[in-house]
Amino acid sequence: MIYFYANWEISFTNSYCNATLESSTAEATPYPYRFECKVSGTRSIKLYKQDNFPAWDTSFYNRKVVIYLKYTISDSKTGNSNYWYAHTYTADTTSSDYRVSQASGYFSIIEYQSPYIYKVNFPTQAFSKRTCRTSSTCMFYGYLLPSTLQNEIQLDYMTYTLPPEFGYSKLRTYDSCSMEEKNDDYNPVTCTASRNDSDVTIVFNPQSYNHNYKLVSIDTSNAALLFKSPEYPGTHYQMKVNLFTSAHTLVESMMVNLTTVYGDLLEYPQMDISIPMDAEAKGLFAFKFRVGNADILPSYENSETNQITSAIEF
Amino acid sequence: MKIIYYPEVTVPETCTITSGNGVCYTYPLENTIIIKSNTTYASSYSFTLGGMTNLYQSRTSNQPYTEIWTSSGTIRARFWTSYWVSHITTDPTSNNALAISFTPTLTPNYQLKYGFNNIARIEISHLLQNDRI
Repeated sequence: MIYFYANWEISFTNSYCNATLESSTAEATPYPYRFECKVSGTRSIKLYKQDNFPAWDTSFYNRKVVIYLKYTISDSKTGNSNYWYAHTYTADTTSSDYRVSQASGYFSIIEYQSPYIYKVNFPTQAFSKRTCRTSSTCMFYGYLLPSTLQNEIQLDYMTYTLPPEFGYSKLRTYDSCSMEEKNDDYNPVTCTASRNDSDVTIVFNPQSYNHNYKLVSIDTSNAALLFKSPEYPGTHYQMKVNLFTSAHTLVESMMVNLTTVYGDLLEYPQMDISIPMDAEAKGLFAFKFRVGNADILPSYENSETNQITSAIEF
Repeated sequence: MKIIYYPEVTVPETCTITSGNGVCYTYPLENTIIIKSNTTYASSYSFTLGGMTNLYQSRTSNQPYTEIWTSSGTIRARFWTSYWVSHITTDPTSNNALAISFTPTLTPNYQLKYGFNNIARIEISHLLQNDRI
């Protein structure tokens, strides 16, 4: 019997437990050698060899026991002293008299790491006005959390390739880019634009970079020089984010949506145009159409006058 | 001299004295070894047995004991020996520690989360050390 338990605050899900012995492809016909897996307590399980388990041979020394478990970690437990143990016994007991072997391991638990999003800023425009609407000027704003572990690859800088549908000023350097993190370390970033093959790429060069959550904004102090959103609303304007090492090696690349443009289309099927029927007399041209609606983020006003207007040209 | 082990010790089929002046007999079913000395000793003397195997699990409650018998068939003394073997934490063949590793499945490369039904693949290496588990 194998007894596997966590020596700290954790709770297993009773219905989720799957354990197998590492098996070769030829042995796994169709399944690898399986253990009967029982959640025996809040933080313990027991594994029993099934009847069709193969006879033990010396290769078993090097075979791994693989377990899939579902569990919940207590909120209060952090640190790296959270050891798990696996004990093997020659009988269905946990008495140390019958113990054969013991394996142990742990993983570190760290606190939530998040930047201070409650910081008070005094931007040149109200945040609500910076919600990207069709044909308005806007900034970009979002989270960054690399998948790459810092102890494996150190990231050095990142680039944001802006959607080509947006309009840009002729700025070379954006003077209000920021990268805020969990602690208050002074971490100035330079944020420069490069233009290649009709793409505009904003390069972030932080002085130092750890791989925790970052709140990133691409902004400039002159509102007239902000980005101009396209005429067509939607969430399909994808920004490409690349993360690089100091040796300019691309480590991560992803498309993110930081560029939602709010608004709605005038629906052509809803339009009805009536012309005067009497060609000899003056009459009215009647245009009937249904205007769209836009979802407004909670707590934000639509605009100063609480209205959305659109220019319609005939 | 009669040495009675407890059942968890595997007594070999063939008894071998690697040093010492005597003859050795083995009784695997009784977990017993008998050594007949070729001469008498007035002071301490050592016999070394070969081919013995450590017990296959840790054992703290029982102890093996040794009886000294005379040639006329009477017992002279019985000695209890403290013999305790700890469970294995290092694989004897590879010298690798018996270890556990964790790989989150729902959030690869991310931390396992608080208050969340984490599913992890847990690998335990070098755990199955003998056929009696």
